[in-house]
Amino acid sequence: MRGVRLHSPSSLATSLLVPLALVGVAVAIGAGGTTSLRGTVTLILCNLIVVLGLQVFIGNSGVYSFGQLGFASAGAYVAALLTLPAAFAALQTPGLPDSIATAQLGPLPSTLIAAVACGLLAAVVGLPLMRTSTLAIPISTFAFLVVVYNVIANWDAISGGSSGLVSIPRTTGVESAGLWAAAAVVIALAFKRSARGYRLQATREDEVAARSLGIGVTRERLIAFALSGMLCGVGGALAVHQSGVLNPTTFYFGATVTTVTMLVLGGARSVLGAVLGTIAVASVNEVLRGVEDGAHLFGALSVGDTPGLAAIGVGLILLAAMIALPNGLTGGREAGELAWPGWLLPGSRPKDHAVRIDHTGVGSIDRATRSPWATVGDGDRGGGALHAGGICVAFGGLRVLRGVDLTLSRGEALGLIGPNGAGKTTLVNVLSGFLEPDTGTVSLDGVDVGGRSPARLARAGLARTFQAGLPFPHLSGLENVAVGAMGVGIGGRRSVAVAIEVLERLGMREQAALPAGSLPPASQRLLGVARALATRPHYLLLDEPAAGLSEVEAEELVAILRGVLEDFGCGILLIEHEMSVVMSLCPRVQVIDDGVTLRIGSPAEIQADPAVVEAYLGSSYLAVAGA
Amino acid sequence: MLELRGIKVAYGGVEVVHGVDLRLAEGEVLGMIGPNGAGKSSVLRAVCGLAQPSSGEVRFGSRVVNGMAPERIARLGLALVPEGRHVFKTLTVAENLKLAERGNGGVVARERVLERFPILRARAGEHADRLSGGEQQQLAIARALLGRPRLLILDEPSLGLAPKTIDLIYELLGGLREEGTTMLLVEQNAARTIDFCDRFLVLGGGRVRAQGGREELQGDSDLLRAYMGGQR
Repeated sequence: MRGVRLHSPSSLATSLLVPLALVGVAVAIGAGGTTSLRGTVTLILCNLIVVLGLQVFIGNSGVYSFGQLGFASAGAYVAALLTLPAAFAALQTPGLPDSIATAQLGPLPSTLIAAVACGLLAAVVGLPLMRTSTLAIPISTFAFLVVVYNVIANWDAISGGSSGLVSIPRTTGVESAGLWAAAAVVIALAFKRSARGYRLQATREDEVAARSLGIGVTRERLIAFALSGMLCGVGGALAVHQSGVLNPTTFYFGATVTTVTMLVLGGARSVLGAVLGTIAVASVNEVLRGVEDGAHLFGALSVGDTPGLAAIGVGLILLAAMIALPNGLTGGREAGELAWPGWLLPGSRPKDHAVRIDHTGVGSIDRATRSPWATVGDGDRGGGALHAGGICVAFGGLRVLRGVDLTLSRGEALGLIGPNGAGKTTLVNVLSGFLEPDTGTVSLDGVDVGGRSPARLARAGLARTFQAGLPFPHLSGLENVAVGAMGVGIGGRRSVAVAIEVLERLGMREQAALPAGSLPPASQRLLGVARALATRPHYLLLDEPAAGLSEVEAEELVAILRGVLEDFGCGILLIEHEMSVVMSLCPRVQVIDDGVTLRIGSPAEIQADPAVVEAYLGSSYLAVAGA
Repeated sequence: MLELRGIKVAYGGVEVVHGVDLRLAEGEVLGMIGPNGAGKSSVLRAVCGLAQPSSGEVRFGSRVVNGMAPERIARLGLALVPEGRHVFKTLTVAENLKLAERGNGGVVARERVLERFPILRARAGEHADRLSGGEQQQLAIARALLGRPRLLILDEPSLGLAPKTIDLIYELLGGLREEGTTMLLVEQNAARTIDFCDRFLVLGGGRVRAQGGREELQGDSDLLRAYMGGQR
């Protein structure tokens, strides 16, 4: 599987080296400057670590948390208490246990302990918070920030209360902050490019589709939340050892607004964005802060004391950024995905999408023996079935399904047709766990799976597609399909190999490198089929996959699905209005109308049935088909 | 009525439409056809202002409309019935229609439209997401008509509909055609399009591959095979 990857090595290297170089430049500027400049740059680098922490969670999950500075605050206090000289500790924090008060650890162990403590705290706090909805998380995390503030401000004996702590050893230099920041860049990028990171990004792009691929939204968010808390804790710990003072407001509203602004301005989806945004906002902040104290601009224009100018400036930057650059300075792209001018980065081509399939690598996969997909499919070729019995669903007073039975065996293609509003999609929602029926049972290979989440069902071998396609728009075609494999636990290059094989099978190789959001709707639906296939399902539920395809393309799709049936032995349930597709693929067709099964039979029987013609096909169909 | 000159459309630096010309006269029904990915939807998006062409000109009536916001173009009398219908799902049918009315004479216009779509009158008080796909499509068309458009653009009106429902939709569209409504139709359903339209524009790979009347299109079997998948 050599050469099979989601990103070319040069693109990955560029994405890593550009932000690292920016950190390096910042360190060089700080190291060569005055004491005051050193301190400023050091604090900016500490800020950057916190912003990278925000990026890990907010950027990849797409969910805003306003509580991450609570972890920075916690990390700062933990590190400060562990390093405070014993004499000062006795004065400022009389309630502190002796073992901690006299610990006087060095900068490295105290920072590491702060990191671990904040990671654990975030995991514990996140456990309930990540269960709340996408819209509730910003509010609940904000509440956490307020709780942290109040605990610290009122726990006088331990935290020094609202007056805060002073005389904390100032051990963070610009070089050590730079090293930590570089490590944070590497961690954030490595996470983003890991299977775990991709699963989280999939939930950002489309939560419903992600769940259908076996991705547990709460779990993926929680892991990133903990990692993010850890990085924020490190940032806080390092910052407090630069400034030497700490109080409950150091990492509170102001810092939250500033760091979120940095992330949004740079482009939250991108690690490079976190770095650029931090540098941009911090620079403006420093200039305006200089002006706040009164300054001469360009030697002529004199400005008096203007307190609050920096805060107003940062607010205006955020406003302007949201209007002009909704995706931030980077557009949410990493350095390796940007179009660089040739003189700056020789060897990179403009418009070079990050994803590239190494064709030699792909060719080396021997279909018959080493296909990562086929081997698994063969081993599991059992005689099971997906069965639904007596399914009833009502929305309010509207009874959509009124006792429908359905059985789909492995290796079988079953067509499901019926008028619009008959309840076909509702039935698929029930089968795939998105909707719990009022009454009725669903079993998978003989096991009752009622009440199981879509993600669990997907991992048990049930995949589905959606009428609307629901692609992950900012991910490439290849990434979309690879995420399908990652969702059911196939990691790393194996997931990419599976994705490439599926895309080739569907004749979608050319779409592999493009962002899925840029594909035409019919291709997005096909990509959904590819994504579902990458989960290596035993049962595949397809909701109008041929919609928007021309007849030639629909014929090709039938051929592909027939190949899938033969090679992998999965059962296919096909909802489709294009009768030629249904009739040529499915030896058995179930017609539902008004929430009940009208007929089950062969295509010939169905097409000849007067009730089906009356309810569904219409007389003109009969005229065409009979001719 | 509508004229496109050298329209190019790109997404994220990737050009998908490479210079398309199109003319549509008053009262004409033009079908834009071609395989998936030919650029049909992108051309429509450029016409409606939903995508900014990277070069070229879109003229609607006497005005150049590229660069205008979609709602301004709509106010000039161009109505789009989008793929996927996009009705306002949590509003009732009546509210959906009310939102589409423009200017005076709303009641009269609504009555005229409802005569055409009796099912919408029957279900006026229901939320739009309770309607079946075919009923939603009718609502989407009715909503477009209430703006009294000079040009009606339909993107895949038969998509996701049962065969019998497609018959109904095309019957309704046929009524509009008889009354002289100017229409631009994008449709994957080859047989339907050929029967319905006066003139065709065949797109492939972001370029115009052929254009002409029904007879010319039906006479060119290679073209039909290549871009439409042949006739039934």
